[in-house]
Formats: sequence, structure tokens, C-alpha cells
Amino acid sequence: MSEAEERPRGRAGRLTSAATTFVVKRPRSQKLGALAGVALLVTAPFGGLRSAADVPPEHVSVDKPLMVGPFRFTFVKAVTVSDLEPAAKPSVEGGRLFVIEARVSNPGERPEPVIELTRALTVQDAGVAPDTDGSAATPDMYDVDDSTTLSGSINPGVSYLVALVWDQQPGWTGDHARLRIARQEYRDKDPLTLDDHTWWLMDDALATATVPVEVKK
Amino acid sequence: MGVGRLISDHIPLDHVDAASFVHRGDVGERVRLRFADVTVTDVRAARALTTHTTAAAPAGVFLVLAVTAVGRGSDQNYVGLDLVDPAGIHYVPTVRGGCATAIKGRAGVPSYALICYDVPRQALEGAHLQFSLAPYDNDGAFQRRDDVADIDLGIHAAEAARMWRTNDSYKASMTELTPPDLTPSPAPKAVSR
Repeated sequence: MSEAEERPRGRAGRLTSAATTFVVKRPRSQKLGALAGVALLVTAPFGGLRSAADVPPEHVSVDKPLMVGPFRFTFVKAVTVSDLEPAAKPSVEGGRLFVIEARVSNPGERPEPVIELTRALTVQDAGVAPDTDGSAATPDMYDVDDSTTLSGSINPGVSYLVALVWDQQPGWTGDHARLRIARQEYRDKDPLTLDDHTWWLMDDALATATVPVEVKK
Repeated sequence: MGVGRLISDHIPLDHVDAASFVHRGDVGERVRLRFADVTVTDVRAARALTTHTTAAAPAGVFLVLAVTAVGRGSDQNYVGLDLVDPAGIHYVPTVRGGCATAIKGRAGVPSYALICYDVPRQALEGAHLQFSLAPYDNDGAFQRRDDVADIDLGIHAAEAARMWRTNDSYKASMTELTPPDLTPSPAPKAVSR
């Protein structure tokens, strides 16, 4: 037995030994998890703790229906018109209306408020002024077949051809606009409010698209 | 102590019953509730609902209910007006067309309203009206421990088929002091889908 082996261990030595024994006895899965944690910490200054890149949003296409919250939404076309009397007219003289025509249905099993669709839709590069609070304007929705306002809720199992209408500032001369559809997330239980079984509007996009805009007199 | 122990051991104190008090009825039958007496007096289907300025077309068909409510105790709005199909799927009144989406109740005085639903074919046969003070919302939480009238609208298979094919149009009506005009007229061509 050497002198070194005979030397009684100090407190630090005993702790090191206990820690080594603890680590050695851990199952392989725990060792790998700990290793990944260490790797993340080491790479933190270089972006290791940053979240993964977002999945690119879907591109809106005419033929492909999208689930926007509880609604099935199919883009049909974008147009700019001088008015949609009797349903809607521009709020300022010389202004126009920017309209997305779409097919909207509720494939679920309960009535769903139309605001869960309209709040998710915004347009850019379309001459649409932001709301008074600076946020992107959301549209009013009308039934194309009878020009009535579609507000309130849409019942399960019914489908409408709708006009989503934004006020357009005078002088817009573009021929394309960008449509953005925000993602929504269903919450069965919401511990922060009393509103269970609800759709939450998220910050990220479900879909974006640059769409051609038809100009109508 | 002994009595207390007996109660706590044998009565399920952790069970809270939040169910509504359901009162069943049929068309033409007055259903008595804590806050009102309610009667569905007529059930129709419509291809259009008209006011003096608008004509609304359904995505499915409009189911039109003539409802009379006599308030008890105080004036209140009756907001729970869900149509429920045999599968338990709920449908709410449409805001399009000019019908009532809530009934303005007056104590001791009849309120007459047309309630109109834009519904798919499968909602017709076996449908019931669930009438209550508060809305059903998503889970009936607002109606817990309160009275709900569950009224069978008497729509059988043949009647549902006939309703689905209707080309009738009715004048929309909200809450009034007189019964609604239920004289049908042909639906205007402009609103046919």
C-alpha cells in the first residue's frame, strides 16, 4: 500500500468521491440528459438557449382550405372596389374598400364567434390604415349572397361565401397585397381566466401570402 | 359529535351538483320556469327573412320559432335560446335577417318574439329549444342550478324533409307586444343561393 493510499481523505476528497459514485450509478438516460444540459449551457453564449426557428407559415392558395381557429377558410380572390352598397361603403371620400372573398365554414360541433376568424386576418401593402390604437386593422365580414353582416356566431355545419372588408385609403395603386393569418391555439382549460374551451390568438403566423388584387370600378 | 360524524361519513360532501333544473314541454304547451312562463307557439322553415330594408338568405335553412314568454318577478332578458339536435349539437339564433337573438321579458306581460336559426339539414329532425335566462355558452356553466325549458319542436323525418325544401319567406320580428305575422310569401329571387 502506497503512502498516498494510506493518507486519510480530507472533506473535499470525500465529497468528490461521493459525487463520482453518484454519477456513475445514474442510469444512462439521466447521464445523457445531464450531458445535453451541460452542452446547452456551454453553447448558450453562441445561441444554444435560443428557441428553434419557427416553422415557415403556410402559403395561402385558392384551392387549399386552411383551419383558422375553428373555421375552415378557403381564399377565393382579392379585389378593390369603390363600394359594396348596401353592405358597406368607404369611410372617407375618395377611399375604396379592400375585399378578400373567401369560403368559410364551421366544421365543428358548436357555434363559433366570427371574431375568431376576423381577428386573425390582416393585410399589408393594401393601403389599409391601422386601427386607432396602431394595431393592424381587422375586417368586417358580409355574406356575399345577401349582403347581410355576418357577426355573432356561425353554427356548425353551415358554409358561407363571405366578403372580408377593409377600408382602403385614397390613392392606393398597387396590384398585389400581402395577407397574413395569425395562428390560434385551442385551450381546453385556461387557469388564468374563467373562459375554458376557447381559442387563443397567438403572435405567430399560420399563413401568409402575396395575392393579386383585381381592381373593380 | 356523533351526529356530525354520521353526516360527514354518510353524505357525499365533496359532491356538488351543478345540473340545471330541466322542465320539458312540447309546441303549444306552456312551460313554467322560475323566471318566466314560455311557450313555443309555431315552428316554420324559411328560405328568406325580410325586413323593410333587407332580405337574408340562409346557408342551410332558417328554422323560425314563434315564442311567447311571460316574465315572473321582474323584467329580464332571456338569452339562452339554443336549438339542440338529437346528437346534442347546439345552434344559436342568427343575427342576420332581423329576428330576436334574446327575448326582452316583461313581468306579467306576454312578450312575442321570432327566433331564427340558420341550420344545416341534420339539425331539423328531432330538434329541441332550450330556453333559459343565461346563455349555454360552451358548457352550460352559466345555467347551472337554474331552470331550463327543454321544448320538443315536434319535427319528424317527413316534416324535416319538407322544411328543407321550403321556398317560403317570413317577415322578421324581434320582441313585440303583439304576436308576429306568420303569413308566408315566396322567397325573393335575389337571395336564393
